[in-house]
Amino acid sequence: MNNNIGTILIVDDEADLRDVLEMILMEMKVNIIKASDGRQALEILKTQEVDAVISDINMPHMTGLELLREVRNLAMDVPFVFVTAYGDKANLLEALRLGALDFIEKPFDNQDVLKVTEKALELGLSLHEVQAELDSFYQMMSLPTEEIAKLKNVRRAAMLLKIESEIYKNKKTADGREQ
Amino acid sequence: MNQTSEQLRIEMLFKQGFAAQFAGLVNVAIYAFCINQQVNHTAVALWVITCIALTLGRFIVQRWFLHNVIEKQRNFSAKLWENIFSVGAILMGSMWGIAGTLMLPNNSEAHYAFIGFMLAGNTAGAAVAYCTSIRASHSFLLPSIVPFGLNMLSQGGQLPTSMALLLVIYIILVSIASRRMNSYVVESLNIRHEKITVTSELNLTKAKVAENAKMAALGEMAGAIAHEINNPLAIIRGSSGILRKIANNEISDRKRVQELAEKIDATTVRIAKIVSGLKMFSRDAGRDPLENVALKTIVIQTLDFCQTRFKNRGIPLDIDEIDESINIVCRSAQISQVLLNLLNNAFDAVKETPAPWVRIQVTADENKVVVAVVDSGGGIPKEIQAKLMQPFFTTKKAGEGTGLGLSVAHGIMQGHGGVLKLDTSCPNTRFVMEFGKAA
Repeated sequence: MNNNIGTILIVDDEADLRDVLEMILMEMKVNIIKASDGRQALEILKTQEVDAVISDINMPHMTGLELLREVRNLAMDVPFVFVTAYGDKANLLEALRLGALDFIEKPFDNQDVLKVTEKALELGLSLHEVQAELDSFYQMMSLPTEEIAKLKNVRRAAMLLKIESEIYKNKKTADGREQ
Repeated sequence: MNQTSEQLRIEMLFKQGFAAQFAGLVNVAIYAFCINQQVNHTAVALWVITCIALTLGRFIVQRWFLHNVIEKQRNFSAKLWENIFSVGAILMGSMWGIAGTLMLPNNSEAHYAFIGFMLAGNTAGAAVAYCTSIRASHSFLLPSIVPFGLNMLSQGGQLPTSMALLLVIYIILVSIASRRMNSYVVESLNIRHEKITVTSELNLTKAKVAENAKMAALGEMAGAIAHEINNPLAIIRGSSGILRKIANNEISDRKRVQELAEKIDATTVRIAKIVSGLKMFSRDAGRDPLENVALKTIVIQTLDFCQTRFKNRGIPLDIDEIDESINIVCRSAQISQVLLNLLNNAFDAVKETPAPWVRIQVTADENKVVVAVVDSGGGIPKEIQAKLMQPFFTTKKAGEGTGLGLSVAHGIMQGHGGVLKLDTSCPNTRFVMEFGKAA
């Protein structure tokens, strides 16, 4: 894999829940950043490199879904995992439609949290890796700016496609889990 | 059991029978006294005894019916009991028929006139007493009078014949009058029955609506409570997972174990609070004793129910710092209900508006404690201010509001000697709960 250990952003308005998630993820030996609502998370995402986001949905000021929408509008492809209340189908569907990678139902099993987060992190890291490689490639080719923009769009589409395929796989496993 | 109007009619018949039958017995005694000299003593005694026995029998049957059927609200066949009553009337009528024939002294015109007078009085009385049943009144009228009339006809002579003619006219008139009376009485009974039915239905509906209002309020909260409980459950489950992992490690991490155990403790207390609060809401607190309770406790308990709703919608809910020494004498579950109602109303009023907020203000002086719920709305239009506390008045969409919340809240505050009112001097929408201060 690569040398970067990765950074995970935990977004939850409940301090105890943030702490518990942090303790669970500690064994992954990753950098962990915590935010108490969507707005704060958005600021962090704009300024720091984050490889995966694990976020609550219902939060004051800016909900998890609004956060994801904003992030995608800003053309950031960081994978999102949502922590949802049991049976919160409406929010879940909306999250998947917006391009969330996966979800964890409260009260969650710690192993599930680890499994899902690991996958998100892996995807996020590889996205960043590809992105970096392509950027240097563009630089090497010294393409005109419009061309780079076009290529970036194509690349973005390809990445989203990768996320989509992950979602499809997850959905299948999720269906299996529910039965 | 819900009585039909037919059953109500028969109940009235049985209830009114007693007075007429008692009067009838008095008449029996008077008539016996009157003919005692002219008619065989044994026959008179036998007649009187039979009359008494019959009246007693009727009395027993009627008492039994009223006691065992009506009072115990059992279902019964109106037709059957009308017939039973009518059989009694026929038997007693026949006794008077005998009085006007077999027991009538021969060739005594004075006695003819007397019994004629008596029978007319008797049957007119019965027509009134039995006016709820044409069958019963005719059952008495015809066997009492017809034999006497035929007797008079067979006697011949001017007076008996004209008496017989008079009796025919009398029977016709009494029959017509009793039919008329009957139709009025039946109509009024129908109206009374309708009134009883409508009133009981109305009461039932009122109770149902009040229950529905409560259930709707509970239902609204249920979603919020589910979220409210899921978070602490996630904390507990997550913590226990970490604890298990620590237990499996060789190196024990005492500090973290302690920290997690504390988290679990605090979180279970939080869930227990929500559950006990829910229990408090789901029962009828109207008969709870009045208690001296810290206002702060009530406000905090109430907030457990709706904080998440506000949070999820991103509506700031600000609460004044409440002095812990402020106490009010109240049924706390009810006051909580009033406060929750005001908060839910405020929530609904501002949820779709830009930059919404809701605030709870508490002030207290020597005489009173004031709790106000203010929201970012611009007040209530003048034309509906007066209707606010009326039952069933709502500005919410059909199916969303019952229009009972504020009227019930108003009643609760009155029951506490307090006041619930709209503060029209405030530029925002501000509802005020006012209490007398506890000693």
